[in-house]
Formats: sequence, C-alpha cells, structure tokens
Amino acid sequence: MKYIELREPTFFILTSLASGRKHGYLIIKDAEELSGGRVTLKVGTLYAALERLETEGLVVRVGDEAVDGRLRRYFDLTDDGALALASEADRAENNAKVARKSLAARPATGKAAMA
Amino acid sequence: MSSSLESAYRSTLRWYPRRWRAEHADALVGILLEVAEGQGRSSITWSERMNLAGHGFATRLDAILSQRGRDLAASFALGTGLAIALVYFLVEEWMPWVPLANHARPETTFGPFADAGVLVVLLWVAALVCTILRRFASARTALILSAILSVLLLVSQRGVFELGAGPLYFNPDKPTFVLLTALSLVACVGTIRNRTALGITAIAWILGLAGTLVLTDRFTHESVFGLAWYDYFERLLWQSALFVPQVVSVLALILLISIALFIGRRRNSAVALVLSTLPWLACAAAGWYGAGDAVVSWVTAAILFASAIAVLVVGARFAPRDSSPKRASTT
Repeated sequence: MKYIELREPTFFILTSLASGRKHGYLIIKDAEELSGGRVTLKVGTLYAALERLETEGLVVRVGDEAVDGRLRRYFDLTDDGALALASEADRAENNAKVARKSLAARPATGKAAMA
Repeated sequence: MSSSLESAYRSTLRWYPRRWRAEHADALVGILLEVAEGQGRSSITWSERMNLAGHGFATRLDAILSQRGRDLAASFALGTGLAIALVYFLVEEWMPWVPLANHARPETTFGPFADAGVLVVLLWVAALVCTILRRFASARTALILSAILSVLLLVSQRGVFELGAGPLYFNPDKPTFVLLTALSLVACVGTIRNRTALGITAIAWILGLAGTLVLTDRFTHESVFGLAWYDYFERLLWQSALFVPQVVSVLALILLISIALFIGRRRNSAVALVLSTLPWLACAAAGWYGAGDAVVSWVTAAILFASAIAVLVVGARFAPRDSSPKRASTT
C-alpha cells in the first residue's frame, strides 16, 4: 500500500474511527478529546475531510439513521485506513524516539549546567 | 428554535452545488444541529457561515476543476514560476558578469539589482521553501504577496531611455511579471503535493530557458545590434516566441488535447492542462494588448480558451468520475 502522510485533523478523525463506526458529531467530540483540545473540527471541514478520505478508500460510509428527525450518517475505517493510521503512528513513534535520543545526548548548557 | 436554526443552516448550504446538497445536506445539517445543541446555541455563528461558504465554494470548484487537477496545475505553476523567476533574476536583475549593468539603468535600480523585481523572486523562493516544509498556507501567502507585488511593480513600471531614442527597456519586464502573477494565482488554486511534478518542471524550465538563451546568443548575438543575450531576455523569449499569431494554433492544439483527455476519462490531466495554459494566455494577451494587428489573435485565443473551459464544465456534467490512477497524497 502506498504511503499517505496524514495531517493532524485527519489523524484524529481516523483515530476516532479506529474504535468503531461513528457519526459526525461523535467524531468531532472524539477528535477534540483525543487531541487534548488542540483539534476543534468545524462541521464543513470534517465533512470535506470525510469525503476526501472516502474517495481515497480510507473510510467508508456504513449507513444512515434517523434520530429525532435528524439524519445521522455513520462512517467506519477501512483496512487501508487502519494501515495508513498504523503507519502514521509508527512514523510519529520513530520521530519521538529519535528526538528523545538527541535530547539525551544534548550537552548541558546555561542554567541546566549551573543547576 | 430548531426549525429556524435548521433554516439558517440550509440557507447557508446554498454555497454547495445542488447535486451535492441532494446527497449530503440532511447529514450535514444533522451534525450542525447536534453541535449547536451541544454548545447551547440557537443561532448560526459567523465562523460556521464562513466555514460552510468556503467548503461550499470549494465543492463547486471541484465540480468543474477537480482537486487533483488543481493540485497538479499548482505544482506545475510553482515549478514554472520559480524557474522563470530565477533565470530572470540571473539574467535581468543581477547580471553578475556585467559590472556596469546597474549603471545602465539608473532610473529603476534597486540596491545592487536592476529593479525591485528581485523581491518577487525572493517570495517565489520563500514559497518553494514553505512547500518543501509542507507549510502550504504560508506558501500560498508568499505567492499571493508575490502576485500583489508584481501588480504594483507593473503599475509603477518605468521606461529606460537613451538620449534621442525611445524607451529601450521597461523595468520590470511586463510580460514576465504578468506571467509570474498568473502563475502565482494558479499555484494557489491547489495544494502543491506533487513534488515530482514540481521538481521536474522547475529543472526542465531552468535548463530550457538557460539553454535557449545560450544557444540564441551563440547563433544570433552578432546580428542583433551586437547586444548580449542577457540584454534582451524578454525580446527573445516573449516577442519572438509567445506574442506571435501562431500561438493561437498551439492553443487550438491544447483544446483538442483537453477534449481527448476527457474522452479518455483523464479529467484531472485535462484540468491541469487547461489551468496551466491560463498564465501563458494572460502573458500573450498582455503582449498583444495595444497592438492593432493582434486583435484577431486576441479574439481567437479568447474563444479557444472559453471553449476549453466549456469542455471542463461539460466534462464535469457528464463524466464526473475520473478513472486515472490515484496517487499518494497528503490528507
């Protein structure tokens, strides 16, 4: 499978769907919670992202449900979506390892050296 | 409260195309109402309006000019503009091999450079750096600034005269800066994700432009008033290649190719081709402007380009799905 680089909002949309099918409002709440409040998705942005991810085969529409006269559309992660998310998580993990290793090797300077 | 809020949302969704609304409006309104309820709101917010208007407009644009086609055209435009800006900088703005070059055009000099066009070149380089760093919004800002600055420079364009003669040069060069302005706008209509297209385009243009100038110098410089090739960049490249009436034949060929691409269900390629032609058409039109004998070229070019746009619109109506293979992307 080709490598797809995920930007942060997309990463959290896929992460939200990794735990099962969800509708739009739940994805917005999940993304905000999972990102520690950093990612606040606007509805138009979420829907555009879901459409794009669907076109790229990373998510799939799994059905509509009417609740209190409102339509809820559910989305789920595809196998390709799960692979893309796992690959992005690996990449972030490796980057973090490299950064920590470099930081550990950093010579003590300034205040840190004096302390 | 719910029905008036729902009406407000449905009204804002008019930014989206009708066909899109028929399929998605109910689901989108459902999410919007749930978000509003969660926040205890009973009215639509300004940022929601702006967000929906922006995405609605983009969806309309997508219906005619596919996102991938625009992305590809943006990559070509950045590569082309960067190459032209760099070559122009070297042979027109800086000319390090001509120590007296700056003194030859004292009316327009900008520090050690021939004119303030060097700032436009810097913005193109900044756009490339931002693109490499995947700071697409910053790259777009640099490109928009370069377009604005180019227009300002064109408005304040000055002629360089010699005693007893008409203007020898106009600084900065009008066709080049019209082309750069149009290229920067096309580079903004998509996200520059295709680095291969960007790299190949930039290198090909740099080699092509520099090669053309060097070859031209080798074979013609003695016959053109003894001037060196770097002295008439715009005359060689634009006046003898782009402003000639035969350019309309090239536009006709591009129209035929874009139709063929649509028939072959390569909509993204057709969109990229038509969008990539636009800056050159703008540049040619700027060159033809004011020249009485170029009216036929002008009108023909406009008709051909309008036809190309019509192909895109008709193609979007009847061939909404592209069968071209998907490529890696940033989502």
